[in-house]
Amino acid sequence: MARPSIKDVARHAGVSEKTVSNVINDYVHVSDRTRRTVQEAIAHLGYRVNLAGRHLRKGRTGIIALVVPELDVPYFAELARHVIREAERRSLTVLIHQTGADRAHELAALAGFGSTFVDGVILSPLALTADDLKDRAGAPPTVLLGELLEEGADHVAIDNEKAAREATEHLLGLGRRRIWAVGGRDDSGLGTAEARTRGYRAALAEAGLALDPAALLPVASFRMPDGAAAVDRALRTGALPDALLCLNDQLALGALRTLHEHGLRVPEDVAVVGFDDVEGGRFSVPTLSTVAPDKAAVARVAVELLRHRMDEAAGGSPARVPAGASPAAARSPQDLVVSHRLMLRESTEGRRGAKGPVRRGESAAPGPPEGLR
Amino acid sequence: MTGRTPVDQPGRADRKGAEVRVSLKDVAAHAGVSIKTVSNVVNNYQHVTPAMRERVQRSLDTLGYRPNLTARHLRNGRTGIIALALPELGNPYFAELAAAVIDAAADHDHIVLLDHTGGRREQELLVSRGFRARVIDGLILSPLELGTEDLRDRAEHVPLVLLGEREYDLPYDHIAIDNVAAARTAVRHLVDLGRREVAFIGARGGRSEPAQLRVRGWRAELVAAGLPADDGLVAATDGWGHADGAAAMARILETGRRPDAVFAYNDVMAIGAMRTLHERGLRVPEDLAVVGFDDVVEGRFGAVTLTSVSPDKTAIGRLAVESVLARLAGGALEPRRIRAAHRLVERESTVGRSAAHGG
Repeated sequence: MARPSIKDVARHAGVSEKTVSNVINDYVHVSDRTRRTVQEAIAHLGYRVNLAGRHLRKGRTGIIALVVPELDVPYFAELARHVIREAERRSLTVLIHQTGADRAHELAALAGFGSTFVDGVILSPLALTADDLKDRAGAPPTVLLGELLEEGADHVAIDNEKAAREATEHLLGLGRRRIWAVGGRDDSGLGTAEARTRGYRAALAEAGLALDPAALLPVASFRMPDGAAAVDRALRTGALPDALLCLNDQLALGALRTLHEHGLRVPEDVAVVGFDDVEGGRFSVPTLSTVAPDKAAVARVAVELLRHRMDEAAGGSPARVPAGASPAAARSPQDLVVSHRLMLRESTEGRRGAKGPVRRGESAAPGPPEGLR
Repeated sequence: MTGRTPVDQPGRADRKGAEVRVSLKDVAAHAGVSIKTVSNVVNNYQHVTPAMRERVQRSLDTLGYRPNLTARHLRNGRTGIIALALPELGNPYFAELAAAVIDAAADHDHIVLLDHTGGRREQELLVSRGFRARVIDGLILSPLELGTEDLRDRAEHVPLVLLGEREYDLPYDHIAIDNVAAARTAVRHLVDLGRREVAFIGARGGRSEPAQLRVRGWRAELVAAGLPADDGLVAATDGWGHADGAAAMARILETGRRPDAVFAYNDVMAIGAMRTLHERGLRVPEDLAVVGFDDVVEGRFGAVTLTSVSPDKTAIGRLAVESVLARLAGGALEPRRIRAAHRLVERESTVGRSAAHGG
């Protein structure tokens, strides 16, 4: 069967070939109604774009890749949902790719999977280093989430250090003094865990407490079994914390189970705070206090910034400068900070203190996309 | 496609004379192994010793090799992309299923494009009719709303594999567990524990009824046991999340019924229901036993661990990918109806703490 052409689609939709081309290439000057008609004709005829040919002409496929370490970590799944929604609004298709925190997969994403069909990449890296970002000629525009690999990359994240400091201050404010950081690690690097550990250390220092190296509980990955195992190991040494700062909710939910099995009450014996505000933490027993990043804003800002970069890369004038970016700085790398808030629930407030999600301790950081740091 | 496009020569320098991209051959020479071995490491195949893997990895790192995951496919007129359309990424079952599909696709050197339909019929229709399919080799679709009629006139030539609950009379491969049997197993477990009034949470009214099969299994088992299976024990919900389960549980309790067990459509709803029971001062499993469906990780770490029907997600992912690839390879294959395995995992929410740990 002959492969349907743009001409066939145009005839079927009763529009010009130029209009079909505009729809396929995702230009803005097409009415929703025409777009719909053309899309239906495309679907009906089974038209498929010749990607290789398009690549030569335009380098635009309307596909962006969202590359995350683990989809079965709810934070990333919830974030993906937001990114898809934001991309849909801009007629972009999202390819979600899971790297398993594997360096080869992250590198492949950074190279745009061979640059053949991906116009842009939103990447949450775990295994890459700053050197990997150098020398990216020919690779599609990339916006980094989470880990800050090097100063000077396009990057969207919450202020992790500040958030961890606030969460730790909350625990200190409850009178807790033996606070373990589950997932905490050496804090010299630019990574998310390092930034959170720094915030934790800063809060302790401010309270006049020395950091006990044994209070940093390393984990192999940031999942429930890791949190459960790390806390179990530490408790078996005979040490006893009065609070846990868990570097994500999965670790915290796993830790809750271990505390329960050890007969420790939360929050009476041990208060627990997580990071991410995943849905499961609102229904656990007890419900989980957590640092809630504005996930919708992370997604919106990342997609906006990427779209901006894609327009630049295509040589056209950018559709719009991303919210928060100063026009003068629009072409220089953007490090955009998105707001967060501390959600206080039963795992620190107790049952009576937390009737449903209590929203207190709003971050002092002003609202969504804030612009340059 | 000619041999002159950049697409066809991913390993070569571009015309501006930028540095030549490292090829598998370069890595093989550096590591002193065959190209096949490098390829096995890059593709993460099993039959490589850890020592060999490490040696190749060192060369990969030293030379800065960047795999080109798609160029090979494009030469064959393919993209190397399989789309996976799921109703709800926020539900851990689908996220875990997606991970299984992604892993299986990676084993076959394919990338997965995830499409989130939100369980909306229009979106599922659009996906199934191939609007997005212009860039994919195959589609794995887990529909919530689409019916047989919606898919009958599908003109798209991209191979389609269906996953999940619905029954279809269509010429496509369909991979599912036996939902009726699985639900019966779950309810049988509750009946065997002496429970006499078993509620169902998560039925969904209207034309589309993915939970229908599980309701049917629930009812069949209760009727067989001579126990009540009336509509007063069934709570419909709009969504499938924790909050829906929590609210549905509250509604059942507010009718004045006092079930001694609950079977939920999925784990997150069961976890939501357990939260409601906790807030009402009802003990699990002493006052109410709870069984979920999906065996998601979250259910293994609650204050009360959750008994659940565990579909073999790894097998579903593998079967789906292999099915797409078999269709792509051509040949007139008969559409297949493939049953993936399931089993009941007993935990504290039905058998209590000591039994769950003793067993």
